[in-house]
Amino acid sequence: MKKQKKIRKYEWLLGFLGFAGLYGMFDNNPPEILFFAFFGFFSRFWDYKFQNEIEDERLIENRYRATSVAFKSSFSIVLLIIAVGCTILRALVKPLRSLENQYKFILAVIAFGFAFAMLLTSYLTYRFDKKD
Amino acid sequence: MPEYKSNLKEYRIKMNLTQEELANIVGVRRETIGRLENAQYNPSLKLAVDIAKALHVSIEKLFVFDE
Repeated sequence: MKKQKKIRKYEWLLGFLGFAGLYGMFDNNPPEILFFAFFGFFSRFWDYKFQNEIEDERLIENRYRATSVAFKSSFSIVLLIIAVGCTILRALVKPLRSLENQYKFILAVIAFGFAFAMLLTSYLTYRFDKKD
Repeated sequence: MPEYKSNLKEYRIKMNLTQEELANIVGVRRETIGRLENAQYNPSLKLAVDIAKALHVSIEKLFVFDE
């Protein structure tokens, strides 16, 4: 048995770095959009709740289960949004017709999808472990 | 939800142990012992054996599965 990795109380504040992704939306460097993935750091809020607990087999099992559910859901949602966005929405939303905007859209969806997976993993771990 | 009847609480009390004390002996959290007592968690074989050794009772008496 071992205690959790040290997580600082305010580490979740790094999630605000995610707003740097907005630069990528409006300048000529679209990969900056991937900064949206930093929103995943807000998951530290849930991780911190386990800070002083022993990492026993039940917590490890709950974490694996949460990770599996979270990443399966996130990948499905990401693929669905990209498929819908690049086909149906492209016909309805004029800005999405340009290749550059589609590229930015896909990068944003991937970054948000990753952040969502991180958040969901931490939240579900907490939920599976603490529910009655 | 695992399908077994847990006699863990009965044997723990016979040994005059709190959930916290038993948890510390076998290396898990108090909540895990609580879940086991309510048959809400399937322990690993190692954990089941460790608990049985700590309480000086066989695994079959601690966790009774329906036939």
